[in-house]
Amino acid sequence: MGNLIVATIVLVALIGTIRHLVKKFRSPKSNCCNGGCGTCNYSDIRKKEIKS
Amino acid sequence: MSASTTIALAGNPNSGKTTLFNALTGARQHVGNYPGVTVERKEGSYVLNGQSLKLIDLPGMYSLTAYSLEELVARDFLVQEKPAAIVNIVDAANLERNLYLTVQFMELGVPVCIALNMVDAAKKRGIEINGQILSELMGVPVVPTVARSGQGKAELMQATVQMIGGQSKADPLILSYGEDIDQALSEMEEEISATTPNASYPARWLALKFLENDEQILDFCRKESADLFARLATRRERVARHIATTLATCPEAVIADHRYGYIKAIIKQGVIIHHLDQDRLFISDRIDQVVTNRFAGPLIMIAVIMALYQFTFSYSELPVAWLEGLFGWLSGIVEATLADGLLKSLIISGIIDGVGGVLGFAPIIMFMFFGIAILEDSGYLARVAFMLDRVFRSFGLHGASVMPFIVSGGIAGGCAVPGVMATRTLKSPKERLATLLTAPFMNCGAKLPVFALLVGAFFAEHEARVMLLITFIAWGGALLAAKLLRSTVIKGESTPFVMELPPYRLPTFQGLLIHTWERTWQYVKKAGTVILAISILLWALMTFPGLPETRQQAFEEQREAVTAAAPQDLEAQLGAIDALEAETALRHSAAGRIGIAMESVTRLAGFDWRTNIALVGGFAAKEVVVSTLGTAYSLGEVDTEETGSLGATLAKDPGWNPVVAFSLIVFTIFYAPCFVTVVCIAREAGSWKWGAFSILFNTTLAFGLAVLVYQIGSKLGSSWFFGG
Repeated sequence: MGNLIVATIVLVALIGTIRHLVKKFRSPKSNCCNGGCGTCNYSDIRKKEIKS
Repeated sequence: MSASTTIALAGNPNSGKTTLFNALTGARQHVGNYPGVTVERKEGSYVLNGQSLKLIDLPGMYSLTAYSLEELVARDFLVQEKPAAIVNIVDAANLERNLYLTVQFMELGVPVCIALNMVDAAKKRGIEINGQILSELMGVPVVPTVARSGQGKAELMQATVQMIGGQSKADPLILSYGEDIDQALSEMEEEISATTPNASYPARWLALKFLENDEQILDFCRKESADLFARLATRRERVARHIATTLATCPEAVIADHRYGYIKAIIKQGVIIHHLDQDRLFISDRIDQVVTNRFAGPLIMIAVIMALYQFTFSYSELPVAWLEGLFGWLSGIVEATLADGLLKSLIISGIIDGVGGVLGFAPIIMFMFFGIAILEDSGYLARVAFMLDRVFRSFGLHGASVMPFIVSGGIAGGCAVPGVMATRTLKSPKERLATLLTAPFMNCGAKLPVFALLVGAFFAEHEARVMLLITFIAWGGALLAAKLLRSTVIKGESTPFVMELPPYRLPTFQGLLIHTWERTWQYVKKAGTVILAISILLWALMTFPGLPETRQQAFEEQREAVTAAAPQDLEAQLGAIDALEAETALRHSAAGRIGIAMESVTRLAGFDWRTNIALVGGFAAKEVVVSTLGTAYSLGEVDTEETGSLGATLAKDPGWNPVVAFSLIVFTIFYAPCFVTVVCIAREAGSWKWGAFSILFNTTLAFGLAVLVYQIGSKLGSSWFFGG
């Protein structure tokens, strides 16, 4: 049972990582200035400032 | 007016152009690319009195002299596709600078309607614009707008359509650029008209751009007629020589001066009314006299950065210890509840020790971002850029390269992806390429946990000083690399740059908290998603394939033999066998084999196989270096309850010392940018060749420097590094 859970978690992590990398590869722009790349200085903050 | 009437929206970057475009078109828009280039092309439609108008959002630009790709694309669009009118979005608070572009549209002879945007923000700053006087003096419609709220958009479109209906073609604005240039212009115009009567550009405008040394126009004339080009070049050379002798400048500068003179003459006639901004500008100027002083400025800058690091490490010490305690407690609970096996190993070594290692540094990131938010919101960061501008030019970079460097993590905590994007403001393609290849050397937020781990473990007494040294190494390395690139693979002339300094502002506490929280949350979110997934995968690579049964059996036999002998230090001997088995299994794993295969080379820089695995994983995201080291050392541990933080584990490990740590810091600063940055570099440079170049060049440079640090450091001894 434990091994099955581990296999599932690793599989989900693998799919998640591949999806993430493909997304970044296909549209790096949207992942940065729209707040998807992590430590971006120009992410959601800017959008909020513009909205407010 | 036909159904396919095209109106172009154009203006300086940050003038609110795209916001106005969105307000006008709403959902009726689509995004594509201009043919052959990466510049975005946005199209949309606006319905006025049942008539559909096609709107094009042109890239932001400062001038029509095609220095940058954006300016080239915008100019080609205006000349080739001939829109019925340009709606020129002008930032009301920066009228003089914005009108420089307006004047150039008028010189080209395209009908212009001015959208005087952000009048609300200008009013708050005490600036009021009299649109009516401006309209009368410039001879074009002027409509005040607030793009964010959509205020004035209907009036703007109404005025534009009326203007299109009222005139078939606008006459180009003819300015006087002084006697010398006027005479040369008139002669050149005649020659162009005689040789290329059907050129798509107006003859006077072509002559003007030829005098401004516009590369694309020079090429155009050369292709049209080699003879014409030679004659025009001779005239340009003659007038340039004369201007150099009499005015000690060049034709471009004289032309720009006269355009600004025309704008100033208009503005002086009561267009701008200042209410309360003068005082603040005056105070800002007084502060700048000290803060950007040639001698005091750099010293103040170093003191400010040092204070930022001191503040960060002092105040984050306690919360970092709390988080370490929390993750230790979690490991203890899992250790006590789950039976030995893969699931327990995954949770403790892969998740808690891996991701926990990254999350544990969240307080450092938070305090660092808080400090940077103060510098950014107060306007001090713009002064840093201003001071570095002088330095940058001597290294073959441009003044506009400073902001991409700072956005990439110039002080610490940025991201190279928006940094690479920010190079779009650079006019020269070569300066832009040099900037986007060197900006990733800055200390982005993802490198921070690596530095925090190593600095905390090996230089705990001098954290702020070592961080300052890391910043200097990153900047020095980036500038020297830029100089090297600009002298070899990307040689070329430098272009001029003028930088504006915004007035100082007192940051609001709420604003600082919002900025800090948003950035910290992005860091935590990334650790909990992407870093978690990569950490799990690396755990799998470090766990499988397990040891073959025969070798497991051999360890089992050793345990039985020791137990049968029942020595006094039985537990210690059994522990040593367990540790050896764990390390053998890790070495036997897929990742372990990769790390060991690289070890013969990386040993020169002091890196063992575990560090190699971490550095390979770091290509996905730099935080992974920390999470992988966490997992690798956790898998090698026997008793998790006795295990301290990763920093404490590394400090105790005989394979680590301050020299190895510093060598790894230097390698992390310079080696290949993360995957996403490489993709961005390739896209922005327009070729995968530059993406591959950034991986090879950066890694070679990083390895060379790390070997240098390790070899020299080993000869001098650990104590040489801040007392070791």
